[in-house]
Formats: sequence, structure tokens, C-alpha cells
Amino acid sequence: MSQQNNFPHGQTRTFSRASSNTWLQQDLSLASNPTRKPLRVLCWTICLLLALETVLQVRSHYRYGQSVLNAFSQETLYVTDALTGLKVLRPNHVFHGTEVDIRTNGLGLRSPSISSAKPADTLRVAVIGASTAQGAYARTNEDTFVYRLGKLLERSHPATHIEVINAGIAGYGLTEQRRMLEKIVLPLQPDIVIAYSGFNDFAEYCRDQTGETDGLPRARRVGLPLIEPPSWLLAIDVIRKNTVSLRSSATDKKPYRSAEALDLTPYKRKLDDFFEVAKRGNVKLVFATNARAFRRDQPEAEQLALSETARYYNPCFDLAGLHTLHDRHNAAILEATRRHGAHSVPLHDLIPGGRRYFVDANHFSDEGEKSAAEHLHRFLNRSSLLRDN
Amino acid sequence: MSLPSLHFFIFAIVVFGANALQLDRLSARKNMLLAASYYFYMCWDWRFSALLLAVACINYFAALRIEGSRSDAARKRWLAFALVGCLGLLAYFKYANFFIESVATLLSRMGWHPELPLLNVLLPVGISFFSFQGISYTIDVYRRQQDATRDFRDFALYIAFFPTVLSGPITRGRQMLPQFTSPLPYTEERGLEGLYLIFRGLTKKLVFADTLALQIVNPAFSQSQDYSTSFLVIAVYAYSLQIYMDLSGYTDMARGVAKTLGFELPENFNRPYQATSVSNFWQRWHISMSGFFRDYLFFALGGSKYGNTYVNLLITFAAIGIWHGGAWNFIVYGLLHGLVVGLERLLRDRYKSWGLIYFVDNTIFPYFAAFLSLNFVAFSRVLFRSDDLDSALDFLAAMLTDQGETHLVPVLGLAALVISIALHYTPRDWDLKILARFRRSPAIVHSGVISGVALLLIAFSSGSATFVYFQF
Repeated sequence: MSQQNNFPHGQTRTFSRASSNTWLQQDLSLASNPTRKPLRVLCWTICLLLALETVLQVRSHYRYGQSVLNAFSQETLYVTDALTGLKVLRPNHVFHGTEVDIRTNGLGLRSPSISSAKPADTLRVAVIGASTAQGAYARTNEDTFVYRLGKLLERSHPATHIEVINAGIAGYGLTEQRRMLEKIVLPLQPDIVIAYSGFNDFAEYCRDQTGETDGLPRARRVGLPLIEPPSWLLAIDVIRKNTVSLRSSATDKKPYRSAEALDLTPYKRKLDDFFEVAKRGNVKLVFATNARAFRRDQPEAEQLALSETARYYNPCFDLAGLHTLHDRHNAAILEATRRHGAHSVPLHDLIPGGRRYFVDANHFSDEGEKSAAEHLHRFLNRSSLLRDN
Repeated sequence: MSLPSLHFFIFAIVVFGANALQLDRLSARKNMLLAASYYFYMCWDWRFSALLLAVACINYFAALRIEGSRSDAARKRWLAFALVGCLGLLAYFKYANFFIESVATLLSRMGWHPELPLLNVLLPVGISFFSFQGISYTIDVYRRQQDATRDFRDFALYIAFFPTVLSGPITRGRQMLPQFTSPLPYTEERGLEGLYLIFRGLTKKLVFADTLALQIVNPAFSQSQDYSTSFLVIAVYAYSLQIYMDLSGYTDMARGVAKTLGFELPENFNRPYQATSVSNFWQRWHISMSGFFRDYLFFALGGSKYGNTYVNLLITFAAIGIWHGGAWNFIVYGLLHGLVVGLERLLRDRYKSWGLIYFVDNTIFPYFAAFLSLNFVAFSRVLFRSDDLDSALDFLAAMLTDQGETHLVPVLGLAALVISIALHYTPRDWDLKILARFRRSPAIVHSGVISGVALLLIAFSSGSATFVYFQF
């Protein structure tokens, strides 16, 4: 005796009563768990990706003393200063890893403790800037070019008590650097301020390029909010930082912005504001131009390799555009220092490019830190700035 | 919400989980899928969700009225209502500016120079796809090939089903609505096959299509005068593979997501560049779209039975061209294909009387025909890729004059091109064997493969949310 079971879409299955129990059992076990394996695969996949992220976080913690765990333990590297509203390093803290050893003072700077009132017969030099000034790849505070400059000055001027303050904070653009000068550095009464502004202002050029083209407003999509990958996710960050070449083209110019046509007026205005604040604070200002690893005279493949992080952070520019942009910004710095009667140090000319002096596109290697300190020291020695104090 | 994004990943997991928990509760499952589909579409632009609803309402009510009407005149009225509604929306959003510009050009050639204002409207993503789904359903009901559904929720889900809403495949009501009424039994194999398809599609899109576009196609088409003839010729083939990897990658993802939810979508590609004629190419390329035009336009015009077959073919292919966008280059592209398909038909009917029997019946002929078809398709796509007719002519001029200095194709682009060709010409059963092996392997192996591919995709992803066919 047999029975016919009708399934949707015309599928039929014939089975005998004797075997029906076995069949039903099989079918029920399938029917009860048809999503088990796909779910298991998904769970395993999420576990594997989480494991990779954990490994990267542990590695980061081991190497740099920083991971996502710091956020939970109130140990983040950066905090917002309640008084000034500025992002600074976590005050009076030690961040220890095999690659870095960052010690911060009470002001949240990568510097030794410093009294708010300047002692008599002391020459105070402050270096303002971004990650390069802070010493992004300098293992210890003593490896930063700012500290080395202090040591060189001490050696060349043994009779003078010299304090060099590192007021570089990663991620700062010129606006934040001006506020740092105004709110934190000037109250410390420095005699000389050295600015090494870095390249964070470039990021604004790549932000929001949509909207208006040909002077005509374009209609925009208005979608529901999207979930973006969090910035602390190291797996994405590590992969993307090291694979820029896969996503960029040496031949295609269309997706890139023209660095020649960029209006640098906002940047020049920021420079003017910075100089004005320095003038009002009555400090001698030395502005260093920004050095970079990739140079036009290198073979193109080397330039592409050296500029990888710069292209990662500024995806709207190609290699030629980045060269132009760096050159135009440095020219703007030199022009502003001339106009404001300040001093300039052309570090972009003095520090050669290449892996010897740079870890990535813009951050100094140990040799680079040393070279920057030496060039700044040489400039200060030759200028009248130290003698006048 | 881009398909290759964290947001979509989370969305897909939530929908998959919710679907898995409600396999036995059909009504709740459909409610969830409908809400998820509208949410997905609203992530692109919430304002246009009203369009989705409008297309669903128009076709749902028109189909019910058609089925309920006794007189042919009333049936025709309701069909016309649905066609005017759907095609009107499509015409306004997609073709209004094309018509305004064309009229302005015509008038200026006649000596008038009126300032006709262009519309500042966005093209709602997927409108060509979901409006055609609505039309196909209503026509099927009109032709009595399908019963009108009484369940508005099912119909709204058919129109808005999130795997297909952006870029197809253009499904038919008779393919999807029965699956919503009585879903196929959910099987582990289908779920795993879905995962395989999702990652295969992502790889096609991010690794191959985007690399070909970035390294070869975009530079060649944006600055053709800078490139040598050899580079531009390679770019023509690269574009054919890019667009195939792009749309078939999307289709794989759509089919994969649908499978993980327990639904089957039709295949949309069948190794199109192995076609032995241009007619055969259209049976293998974007099958759901070409099938739509065959069934609802070519046959409606009389097909090969009534009227002039060649004129019917030309009209159908011109419509296929214009479906891709309101521009003359698309129309010329369609007409060219219509012309060649007509010629092939003529040849098929007359080759014996023309004394070509020895040539056509030769064993080498299929290879020769495949070579010819591939080249016709690839080079006609210069029209398809260019912004307008002038740019297409500029590209062809640059190709013929060989004035550019760049000869070398970037290594990465070349690698993507060679692998794409190799993948396209591998036997189909290799793919099936890989899939079968993938299905059999333990969960941890699946996860390892998926994780590895996911990391590779992160490296290749340009962050661009769009697929080529999103603009159509």
C-alpha cells in the first residue's frame, strides 16, 4: 500500500507505509534544522573575524599599549581637555608597548612636567604640530625630534637652562594648532615657538566633493542613516592601509582632484590666524615646511610605495596631485612667514625622502627624527633667535 | 545601503536570523521580509519608497480589475491604466530630460533657440527593474497566463523584494508569487549555495569588475587620446568583462541572498561571451531583461508571425537600448544589435539558397561565428560605455589614429582581465563541482573560505556603493 504526498510546486513523493516512519523521521530532522549549517557557518565566520580582530587588538596593545580595551578601562590615549576643549594625550600617563613608550605630562603633552610659570634664566621652546611633531613612530619620548632638539640645544648652550615642550598632538590641523598655541602654549610663556604643521589639513579637500558641479545644485539622495565600520576596527584599517595600490590607478586621472586648481585661501587664512596669535603672544615664531618621503626624482614605483599612506588618507589625489599639494602648501607657509616677518626652516628641502628618513609617507623614522632635530638646531644656532634671549 | 558594506552585512544577518526563526510562520515571515525590503530601499532614498508602493498599488488593482472585467474593452482600459502609470513614472524620472534636450536640439536646428529648463530630479534606483516587474505581472494577468493575486502583501513583497529591487533579475509574478504563497521547503543545501553565490558575486564585483574599471576601462574611456590603439582595444574587451562581472556579480548576490532566505530567483546569465551569434548572445545576457522585451514587446508587436519581423526586431532592440538610458548612444546601440539580429535571421533562412551551405555547415563555423559575435558585442559597447555619441566617436577615432603614448596595461588590470577571461571560458561543470565540494565541506572550512574572501574584498573595495546597472 502506498501513499502519495503532495508538495508545493508539483513535487510528489511516494513512500510505503512500512518505511514511512523512517522517512518521516529523516524529513522532520531536516525540517527542524534546515538552517543549522548555514547558521553554524555564519557563527564560525563571525568568530573567525572576531578572532582576527582580537589578535590585531592584542598585537596593538602589546606593541603600542593601545587597543579597544582602553576605551572600557578609561585608558584611551587621547582625552578632551575640559578647560580648553582640545584633544590632548591622557595627562600624567604612561602608555607602554614594545614599539612605543609614551609618557605624558599634566598638560597632556608628550613632554616632561613643566611649571606653568617660567623660571628665571630659562629659555622655553615649544614645538607645535600634529602626529609627526608628537612622534608617531618614535619609540620613546627621548626619540622624538623635539626632545633631541632640546638635547642638542643643551649641549650647544650649556650655560642656559633650556626647556623644549612637545606640543604636537596627532590629528591636529592648523586650526587646532592655533588653539593649542593660544590656550596651552602661550600661557607657558615660551620664548620661541616652532611650528611643524603636518598634513592633516589636506583631508578637507577630500571631504564632500559632491553637491555642486558646474555651479548647478544637484539633487541629493536622502537615505536612512547607515552603519559605518567603527574607527577602532583594526582588521579593516590594517588591510586598507596596506593595500592602497589595489584601489588606485596610476593611469586614471578622472577620479582625482586637480591640486593645481585648488583654492588655498582657507588654508592661507588659517596660517595668517596662526601667525597673528603668535604675534599677539609676543613669541618668536619659526615655521618649518613639511617634509615627505616621496620625491619627484625617485622612480615612480618607489614614489607610489612611499606615498601609500598619503594616498590612503587623501584618496581624492593621485601621486602627482599629492606632490603639487605638498609643494603648494609649503610655498604658502614660506610666503606667510615672509609676510609676517617670521622665520622659516625648509625641512622639505633639507630632509631627503626615502625609507631611511620616513616610516611612511610623512612620519619620520629614527633617522628622520634625528635629521629634523639637527636641522632645526642648526637653524636656531645660526639665527639670532637664541642670542636675543 | 551598498551590498558590499558592513551595514548590509548586519542587515542580511538580522533578516536571515529573523527568517530562520519564522520558517513555520509564513505570515510573520512575509511581514518581516516586506518591512526589511522597504527599509533596504529607504536606505537609498526614503522618499522613493512611495514609488515602490505606487507601482505595487497600480498593478495590483489593475490586475484585479482586468481579471474581474467581462468585456475586452474594460480589460484593455485597465491594462492601459497600469502601463501608463508605470511607464509614466519611468518616463518622468528617466527620460524627461532626454526628451527636453532632444526637443531643444531639434528646435535649435530649425532656427529657434528656446531655453527649455531641465528637471533637477534623481533617478530612483531600481525604477527600471521594479516597474517592469509590475508591468510583466499585469500583462500576464491580461493574457490570462497568471491569476491575479488577492494578497496585496504578497504583491508588494514581489515588487519590493530587497534582493531584486535594485538591479534585478526582473522576475515574473508567476515565478515569485507562488513562492510567497507556499514557500519551497527550506533546505540546508539551498542556504549554503546561497552563501557561495553571495561571495562569488562579491568577488566578481569587487575584485574583477572594479579592478578592470579602475585600471583599464575608466582611464581609456575618460582620456582616450592619451592611449595607444592596443590599449584601447584591450579596454574594449575589458569593458565587456567588467560589465559582465558587475551585473552577473550583483545577480549572484541577489540570488544568493534569496536562497539563504529560502527563495529561488531565475538565472540571469549563461556565459554570454560563448554565444555563437548575437541572437544567441541575447539569450544568454541579462536573460530576465531580454526575456521581458521578447515576451512583452516583440511578441506584442507580432513577433515573427505578424507584421514585418525585421521592423519588430528593430523596435524591440531600440527599446532595449533606451531602457538602459535616455541617450542617443543607447538607441544606436540597440538599433545596431537589432540590425545584426535581423541579418542573422535572414542568413538563417536563406543561407542554403545563397550558396553558403558549405561555409555554414563547416565545423569551424561555430568558432568563427562566436569570434565574430564576441567582437561585435564588445565593440558596439563603445556606444554603451560612452557618455554620448560624440564621446563614442572620439573613442573610435583615438583607436584608429593611434596617437596616444600609453601602451602598457597596468599589471593588476591585466591580471584581472586574464583571470576574468579564464573564468568565463572554464567549463560550467567546474563551477558546479566547486559548489558541490563547497556544500560538502564542514562548516569551519566554509567559514575559513568566507572569512578569507571577506578580507580580500575589504582590500579591493573602493567604497563605491554603485553597480553599473544601478544607473539604468
